[in-house]
Amino acid sequence: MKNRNAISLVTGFVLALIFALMMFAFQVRQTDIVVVTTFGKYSRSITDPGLYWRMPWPIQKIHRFDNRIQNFERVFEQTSTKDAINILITVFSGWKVVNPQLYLESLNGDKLKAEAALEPMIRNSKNAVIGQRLFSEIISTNESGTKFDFIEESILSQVKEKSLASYGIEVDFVRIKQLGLPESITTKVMDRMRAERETRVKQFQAEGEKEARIIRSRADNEANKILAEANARAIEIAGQAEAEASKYYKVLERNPDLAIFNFRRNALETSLKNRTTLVLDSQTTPFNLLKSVGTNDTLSVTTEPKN
Amino acid sequence: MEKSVERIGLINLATLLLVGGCFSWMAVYSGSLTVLVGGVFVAMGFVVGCVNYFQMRLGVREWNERLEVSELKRNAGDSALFSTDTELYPARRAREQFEKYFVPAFATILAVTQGIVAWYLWRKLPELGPIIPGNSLLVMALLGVTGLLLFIVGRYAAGLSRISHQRILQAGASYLMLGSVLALFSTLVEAFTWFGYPGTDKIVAQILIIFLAVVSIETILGLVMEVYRPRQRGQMGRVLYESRLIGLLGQPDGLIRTAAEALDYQFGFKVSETWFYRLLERTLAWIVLAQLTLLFLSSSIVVISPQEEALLERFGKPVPGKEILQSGFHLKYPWPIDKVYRYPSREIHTLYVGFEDDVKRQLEREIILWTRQHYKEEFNMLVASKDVTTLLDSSSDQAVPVNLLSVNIPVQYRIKDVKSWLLKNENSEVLLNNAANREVIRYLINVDLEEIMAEGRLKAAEEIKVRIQKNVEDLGVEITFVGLEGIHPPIKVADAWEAVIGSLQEKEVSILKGESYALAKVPSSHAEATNIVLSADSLGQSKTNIAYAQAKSFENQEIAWKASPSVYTQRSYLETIAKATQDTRKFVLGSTNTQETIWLNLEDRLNKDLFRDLNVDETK
Repeated sequence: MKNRNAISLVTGFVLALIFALMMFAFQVRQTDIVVVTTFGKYSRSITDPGLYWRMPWPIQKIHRFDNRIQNFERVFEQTSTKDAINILITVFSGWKVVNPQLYLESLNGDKLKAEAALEPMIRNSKNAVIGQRLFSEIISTNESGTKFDFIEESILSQVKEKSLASYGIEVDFVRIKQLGLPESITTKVMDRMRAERETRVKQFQAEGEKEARIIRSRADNEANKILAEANARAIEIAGQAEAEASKYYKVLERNPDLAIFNFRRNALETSLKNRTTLVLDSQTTPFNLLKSVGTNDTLSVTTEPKN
Repeated sequence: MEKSVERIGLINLATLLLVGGCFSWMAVYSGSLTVLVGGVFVAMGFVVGCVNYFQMRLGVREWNERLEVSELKRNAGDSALFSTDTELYPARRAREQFEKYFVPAFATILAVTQGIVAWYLWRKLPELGPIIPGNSLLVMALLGVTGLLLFIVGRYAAGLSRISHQRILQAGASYLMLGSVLALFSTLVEAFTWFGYPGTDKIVAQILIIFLAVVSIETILGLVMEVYRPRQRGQMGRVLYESRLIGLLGQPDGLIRTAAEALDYQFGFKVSETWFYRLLERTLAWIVLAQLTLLFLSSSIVVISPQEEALLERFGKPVPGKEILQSGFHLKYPWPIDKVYRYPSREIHTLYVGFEDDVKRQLEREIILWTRQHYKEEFNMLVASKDVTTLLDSSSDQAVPVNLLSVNIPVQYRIKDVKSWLLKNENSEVLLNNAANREVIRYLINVDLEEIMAEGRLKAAEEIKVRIQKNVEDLGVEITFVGLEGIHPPIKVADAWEAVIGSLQEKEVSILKGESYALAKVPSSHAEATNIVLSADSLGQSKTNIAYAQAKSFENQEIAWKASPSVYTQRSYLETIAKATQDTRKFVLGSTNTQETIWLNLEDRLNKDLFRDLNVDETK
């Protein structure tokens, strides 16, 4: 029993010591700003880290805030530029508590309330600043013509003073995180991008066709020239051959009747070569034999015409 | 039953009501789920306490009635006005009726309510919370006070209940003791939250909800068992709404006693009376205390991993000369004097701009194609366009000289100054992510789509890296790598880009076909030209030769002609006719004296091949 009492005593003492320390002392970290209130009234602010004493609750109350830059960001918002182009824009900002007493009084030291208070200010400034700028001042291949940094600075300058005066918080920076277009416009832009590509496709196809046709035409031209030269040469050769042949034909002049008879015979032979149907009179030699066999006319068969 | 028991019951009730209120306030103030479920148990305890108090009052009335009847009997002898028990003991009758009808009904309702509440809490748990670490200190103090109060009142009531005929106090006392245990649990949860482990709250709350459901089942089982329990006259029945489980959890020493008795029974001798058990019992508390002291002192030892650095703070201030602890073994004052904040600063971290991904997807990824989504989510970014005149839609009256681009940019970084990284921004990682996003879009809005997708790609990666580094210099971070891992048109139009590449190939195909035609055409025409010339040449030669041959033939024919012109002529004619008309159809018309009209069918005969194709016999 004695043993138990000693343990209880030691444990109780340690617990009481811890509890007393918890009630009468508090730490301030490097990342903290602490406001001490006494019966709800502001007493002091502590920004330096270390161990501090306090009166126990409910006499004094400790309000602890983060003294680092707080990140604040909201979702995409649609707004309009000076030239009435709708864009979506997200900004992110960083703020910190610089007047802890005012921060406690105006926003109850609540980060969510601070963000809720900052949101309309930033949105208002952002939309006002964007509304004064042309779309080409936000997005353009001409870098010197864009006012991206200026827009961010303008939004910040409008918010900075107000937030400091009203809530004791200083907005350190406001920056654009994301830019976009509304869904309907995005679809149109994509359609246009597709149309541009299709134009390119047609252009390349046409260019290919053009090149191919030029190459073909040049080849045809060259081929025609070659053939024309060849034909000319052929005609020339034929003429030469004709001249050469005519030397031999002089012999025909010695007996024109025979020559003409030969020509006619050749012509007859040539003309009857292909599919021909002959309707002949039975008087025609040699078919006149069909009638004159057995008559005296047998030997009177003559060629027609008779010269 | 004495009047004091009724008073104790009233005190139990008041305590449960007060503590229940405290728990409710603390649950709202701290956001703690454990405190909330603890409050539910205390509220159940209050309801049980109310019924318990009413039953006690009936017991006290019965006790008074019994005293009065004995007094009457002693004074009046046998001349009693009332003869039956019902008439003599109305208070006893009332208690019996209460225990017979009301208590089982109440126990049933209690069990069902416990079950429903457990189910409801389990479902609602994800929506509740989270615990607020900033309020833990005050809540711990209040929980300590309420726990102490519950312990004192509950312990006293439990002690009294052990006396026979006052066992009825046990039900309320169990809930009071349970309340003190729950206050202890809640304090521990708050302490864990204070030290940076807020997740403990949900786990403990879930365990308590399961316990509530088990208690509900236990109460129902108790009811069923009570129906079949053999009863002996004069033996005190069990209070039906009293939970043995709650009694055990509220008084864990009872559990230890039960365990010791079980050991004795199992081994056949009094294990609990051996010297070892006694020594253990005597020194257990000191051992536990020593363990806790060691645990406390172990907080003086810090081991920093190779990839880590740590900030050392003494009462919140940086310790001069040891502000940043590098990897290795370090000694410090124990917690809460010195505190260490670690960060894996030497590790290379990666953030992604333009897309969201998950590990599972990374592992499952096969081929990365523009036309197929290859990350969990890809964002379309605006890129400037040189073609300012582009018009979207005449009806919308908006000309947007932009293009859309999907970019997949991993940014790798390392912390070069952990102090700046941890102390300048509440969440430097988020700020770095935002800044990286900003620099990417800042760059893209001034470049042309075609340019960045082609030759400007490498330059873009370098430029974006420099810009991000400049932007986040204050955070003590070094950007080690920015890669334009993927830059491509949005998935919806990516096929059109592929079609352009395809059309370039088509263009090449057309040109190559033209060239191949040209390559074939010119040599072919050369060949044809040669052929024409050579043919002409051979024809000319042939013509000359034929002329020569004809001249020679003519000379010979002339000899024959001169010899007999008519015979030669007739012979040549007939030879020619015979030879030339050998294959021709011939109709020879015989001349008569009458005038005849002759019809000749000069149509072509059907081709023999036709008969063959039709598979018909030609003769038919």
